[in-house]
Amino acid sequence: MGPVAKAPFLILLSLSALALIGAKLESVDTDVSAECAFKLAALDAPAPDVLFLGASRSGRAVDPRYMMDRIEAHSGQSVSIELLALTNTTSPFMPQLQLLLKRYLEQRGAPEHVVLELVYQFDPDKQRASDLPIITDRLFKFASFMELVEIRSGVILNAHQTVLPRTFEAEYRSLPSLALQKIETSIFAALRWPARQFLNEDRCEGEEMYRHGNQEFLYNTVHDDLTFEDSPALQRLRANWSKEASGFLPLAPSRPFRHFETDRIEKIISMLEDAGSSVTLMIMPSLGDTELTQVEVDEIATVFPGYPLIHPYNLFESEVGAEFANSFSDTHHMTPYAGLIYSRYLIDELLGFDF
Amino acid sequence: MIQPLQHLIVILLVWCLCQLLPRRAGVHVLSVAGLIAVAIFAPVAAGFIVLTTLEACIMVVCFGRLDRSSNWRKYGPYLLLANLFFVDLHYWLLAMPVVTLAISFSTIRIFMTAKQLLNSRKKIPLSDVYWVFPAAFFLPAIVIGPVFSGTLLRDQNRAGAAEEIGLRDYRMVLQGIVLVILLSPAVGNLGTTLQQDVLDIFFVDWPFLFLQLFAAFWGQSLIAEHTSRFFGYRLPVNFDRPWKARTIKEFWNRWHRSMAQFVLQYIFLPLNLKGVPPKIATVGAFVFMGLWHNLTLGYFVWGLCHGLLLAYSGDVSESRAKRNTTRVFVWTMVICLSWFANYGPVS
Repeated sequence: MGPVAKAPFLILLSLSALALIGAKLESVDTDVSAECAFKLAALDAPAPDVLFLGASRSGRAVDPRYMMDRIEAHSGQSVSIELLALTNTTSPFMPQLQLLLKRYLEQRGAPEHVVLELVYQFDPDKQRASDLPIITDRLFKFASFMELVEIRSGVILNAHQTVLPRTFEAEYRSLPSLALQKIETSIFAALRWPARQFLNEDRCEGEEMYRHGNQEFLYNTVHDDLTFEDSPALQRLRANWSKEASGFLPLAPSRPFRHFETDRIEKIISMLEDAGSSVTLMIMPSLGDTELTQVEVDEIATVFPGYPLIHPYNLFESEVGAEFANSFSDTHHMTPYAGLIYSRYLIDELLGFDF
Repeated sequence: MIQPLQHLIVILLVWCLCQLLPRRAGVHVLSVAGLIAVAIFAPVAAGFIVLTTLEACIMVVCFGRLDRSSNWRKYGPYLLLANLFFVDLHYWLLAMPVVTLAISFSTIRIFMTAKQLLNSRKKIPLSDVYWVFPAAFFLPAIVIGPVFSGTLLRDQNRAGAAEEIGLRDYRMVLQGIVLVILLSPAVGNLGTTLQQDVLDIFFVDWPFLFLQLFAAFWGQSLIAEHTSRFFGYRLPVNFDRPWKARTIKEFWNRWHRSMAQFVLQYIFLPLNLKGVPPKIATVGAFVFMGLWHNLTLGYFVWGLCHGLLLAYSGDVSESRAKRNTTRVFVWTMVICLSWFANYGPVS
């Protein structure tokens, strides 16, 4: 065999070397929100007194800076507050959140109190595959292969009426395919690394880390002068969003189509409690979702017994209720004005915590 | 879905394994590896292709006993093409989406093998029926073809002599990887940026989307064709500098050639021999090709228009002006139809 004919060995060796190098480099291209969330988890700083943990609904409704300043101004008490959230709950959100929290707890220790958003997928079209342990670029960037295996193990898939088991579904990944994808991602990471160094990209500098770049998470964003915004154009948009949101799935943590999320939330609660945090649950409403029935409260209490529950539904009954109910910037994200109302409400709740 | 680089890694691993085995074992190892790869990335597709393979083997054994003039022997294998519907109807059948990777190309290759074996004038040895399996799962070709008969692999395997791997093969594999991984997404992004941020004209991205498809498809084909040469097998060439095409006939002689030749040989010719006028047979063949891509109205129109263009187009004109006009018209049609079938309102 001539030297040219042996070259596939060399190609394979080169690819293996690139994969090994790339596995050590976090240069996989991913969205800015995940980048900022993982950067926050990796900060060289102790965990705060209160950590809000959830999805973009929380990110667009909770302003930690505003809350810290207000609490200090009113009570003279210095309480540190942070928000750790990821965007895009479309799919494999819970595994990502688990990994993010794991990193956070390992690096920064346990916060005293954690307010955990009950993160569920509400859009019926997106719910379909939200339980499948799809591995996105985010997970490939931040997780080792063994962590991926761990995240994937013991998955309880939601019940759908399918002919074949759901492990045959399109987005479900077998372990060998995961391994190959991890290798491929590592090769790309190694190839991309020089460009990353050259461009010196840091999309999460300073306060931008808390705001998650273009995701517009609240951080030093709300202020007491914010007012309710309305216009015929906004009303038309809200009418469309309300129509869409009226078809959203209920929270219903005990229903078969929620098995996966509920199981993962239980795992997250266990992680937090094992680390020494006390956990409070929080519900974030969608547009037009202005009532929390006793049946729903009872169901949550049955599935997650003994955990205090925070929700803004009482606010809909208050004097700013109508404005609050209409301050959404899409089907499920609050506007900064609603964020101001909700952050103020949360301050009252936090002051009841034992620090 | 198996990504191009993952596909290449698997092929290289199999190549290393094959260095420990006799040269002729390569095709068998590649076929088993192809089955394993499809099972890893698309288990339902793997099961379905295995069923189609068994169906074809049974057909070859049963119809092979009939007289060569028997209609069952001549046309029975066409029943295999009905399996292509699974790709589009699986959600309705299984109530969930599954990866249908490889089914479209494998079914065509399985059909071609069965048909060629049944066309044989001699008695079909049972050992030949085996070649349906390599046709179904030949690793380099599982993702995107080309389409060929298992008898092609059989003949090359029996001939034994294989060329040394040439530098050109590496160059072509590298070119394929660059086309798929770098050029295809870059061209797509450029088109989207131009359309959304710069020009804001709704059709400005169509040529870019076409180039994106072309780069991905050509790149994957190059990887398939040239990695199979690592094992001593030559596959049909799918693309022959299609940008040189001056007429629609030339386009189909240069673009996705293996599939174009398939529809000519297995759809057009039988229709024509049955007395269907050539123009209608051409349209029928390309409507089949359109629906083979996707069972959508968009691809029906794509197939119909390509068939009509082919049926009613002339040869290359003597006049330079007319040649250029034809060339512009053909490429405009090709790009617009590609957009309509893949991204249009009924895609």
